[in-house]
Amino acid sequence: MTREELILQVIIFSLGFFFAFVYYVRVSEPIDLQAVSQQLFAYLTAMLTAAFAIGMINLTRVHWINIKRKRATWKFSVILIASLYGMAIVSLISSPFALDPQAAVIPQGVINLFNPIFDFLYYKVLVTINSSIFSLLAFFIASAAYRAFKARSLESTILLLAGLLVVIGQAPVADVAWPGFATIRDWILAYPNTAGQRGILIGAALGILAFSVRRMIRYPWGR
Amino acid sequence: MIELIEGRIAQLILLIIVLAAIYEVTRIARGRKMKTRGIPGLERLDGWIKQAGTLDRSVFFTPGTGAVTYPDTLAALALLEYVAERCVEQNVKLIVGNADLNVQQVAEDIVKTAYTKAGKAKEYNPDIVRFISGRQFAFAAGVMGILRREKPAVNIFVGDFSAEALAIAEAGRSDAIAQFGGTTNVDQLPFFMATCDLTLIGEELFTAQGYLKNDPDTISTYVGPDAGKIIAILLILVGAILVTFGNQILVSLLDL
Amino acid sequence: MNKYKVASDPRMIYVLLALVVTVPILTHSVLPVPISDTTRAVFDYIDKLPANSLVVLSFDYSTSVVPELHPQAIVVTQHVFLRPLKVLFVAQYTDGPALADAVLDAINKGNKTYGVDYATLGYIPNSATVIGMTTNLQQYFPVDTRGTSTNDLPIIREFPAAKMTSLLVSFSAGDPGLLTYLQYWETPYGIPTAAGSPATLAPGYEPFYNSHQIVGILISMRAAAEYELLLTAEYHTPIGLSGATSAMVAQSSSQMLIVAMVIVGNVAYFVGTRRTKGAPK
Repeated sequence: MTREELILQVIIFSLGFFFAFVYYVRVSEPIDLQAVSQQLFAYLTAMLTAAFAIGMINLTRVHWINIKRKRATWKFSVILIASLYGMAIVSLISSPFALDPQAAVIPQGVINLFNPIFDFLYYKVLVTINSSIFSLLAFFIASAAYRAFKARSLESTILLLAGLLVVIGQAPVADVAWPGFATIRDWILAYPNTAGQRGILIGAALGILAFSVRRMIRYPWGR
Repeated sequence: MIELIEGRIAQLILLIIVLAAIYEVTRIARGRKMKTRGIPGLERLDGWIKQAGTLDRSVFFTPGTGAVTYPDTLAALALLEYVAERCVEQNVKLIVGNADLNVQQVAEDIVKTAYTKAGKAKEYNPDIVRFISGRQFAFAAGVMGILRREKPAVNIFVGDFSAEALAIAEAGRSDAIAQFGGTTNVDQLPFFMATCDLTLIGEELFTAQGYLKNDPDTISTYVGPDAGKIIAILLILVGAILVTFGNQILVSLLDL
Repeated sequence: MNKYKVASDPRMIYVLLALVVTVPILTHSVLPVPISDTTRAVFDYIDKLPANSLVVLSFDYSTSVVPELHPQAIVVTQHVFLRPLKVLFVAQYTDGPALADAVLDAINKGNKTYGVDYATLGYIPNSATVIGMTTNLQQYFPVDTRGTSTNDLPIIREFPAAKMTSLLVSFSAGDPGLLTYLQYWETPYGIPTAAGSPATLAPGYEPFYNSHQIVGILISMRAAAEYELLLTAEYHTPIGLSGATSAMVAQSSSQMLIVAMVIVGNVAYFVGTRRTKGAPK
């Protein structure tokens, strides 16, 4: 391990141990460690957010080069940069994150002008586009279910039956036809599903615990 | 004033016991050639990468949409290190797509280091590691576009995923020779199982890199958490029996 | 042309699915929706809250999940506004504040006054804020989303700490979301919590409902339709408030189509296997 790696590892271990310590132990005198940990968390958030600025610069640089050199997808780069900065400016003037919602510096007239623009871009464009891509999942689930739910073996048959019963139980029309479908669905979700989920959660939590401790003490040492 | 926080005392005691158990088992396992169950199919990853090279196609890797502080993302980046080294070794084009700016920085560093270690620093191209978008479905759309245009032979999606996982997996399924997924997110696992040739379930994500490197010391650290699982199973069994007979003592103890 | 190949072509599945979804919506079909226990649990809890209790509505979802969670948020917010309750709007997703504003525009606020009966506090950037706001709201939200100092809001003077919450409803589409609140609000302070979730996440939240850590779960758009029917029965609100009831036929028919396709797929698989076995060697 080089000297720089050692210093970094000491910082990683110290911060990791500190946050774990304050989660279990309340120290109010002489220093309020809980307040210190919350302040550190705020600094961490600020640092992570600073990377956002680096990312915007990176994105702008990459797509500006695309436009300058008229690469194959340069027109999409123009749309990207225009929408990136356009939406940022509109949001800073008129949105729940506006810089000056009380019109102390920016004239109220300007804010009023940008309000409908933000509403249109956000609710009519952004929400619609995001919802459309999310809706593709319906088609993908249908084709994945058609492919995956095949009774090739005992386990896959059980999976197939359980899956079908839950899907049927979720459909309002099936509930109207026979209330038993909802009961079966609730039983499958409450017992086998819950048991399986808890098993995976416990295993994953232990894996995360061991992984995090390994990272903190850098075990196997030096690697 | 120093005091243990109420409601977390039992948790702390349990944590110390579990950590001690993990340490002791790891210590015993270290240096011994442990027979582990292995992760079926994981050894095929090298073959898939080699096949990608033979077909002159690329390997696509994404560490998911999680922040760099998430354990899933860290495990995915550890696997990226292995995949990048294999790709550089086999002269296979690698494409890495990121959804988080901090992960982007780390991924760039990992891939650049892989090229430098292999003495091919000049061959590193910044376009290999791409930031796509921080928004979930904009990221999914971007990845789907890359998969349709570049047609990689191997698609690797491991890390923290939400609903975009299925969209990405379905887009890659048609052209890829192999899809390799993994996450601890139990809600997305069914979609991975339905669309991937190999899925890392839960904690397998954290053990993949060590398993691939076949290092006995590293593998011994993966045996440790099994001790924690045994403690959990014992607590569940004892607790279930006690509660069935109306005894809430274990529940009260764990609430301390 | 091989008819099995045509039938199993994904594009055929996509066309059928598009038809069964769009036809019911265009024909405005309506379906009776039985009320599930998890939805009724949330409704009954809100209905029985004492007057002047504080309800916190957390918008922990992004624009992509709007079709599933936004209808839930509309009906729950309308219910809370129909009762003599105080409401705070927060969000763990950056999209949350704007979506909260959209919900407020969609409902009938009655005679509730901003700042006295409800306030929109905005975005929660990290779990330190989730922890800190339980003891001091004003410190972590010095201004609301309209730029007003929270010191000047009567509702914050009345409820200076989030641990005074009588019910938290987290419309949660992942992490951060419900699990953060369970960890930092429900476990240490016992704050009653309800969840609104998309269909894919509901199985993951069921264990918390079964162990009584949450009072109820609103699962997907269907729960919004059920809640809307409960509101209409109890408070005579108009049908179509959230748009969920009119989508139920489309949802049902698409789910039945998936079931039918799985059955057809298995029949085709078995027929194909038999043919292969029966073929001369």
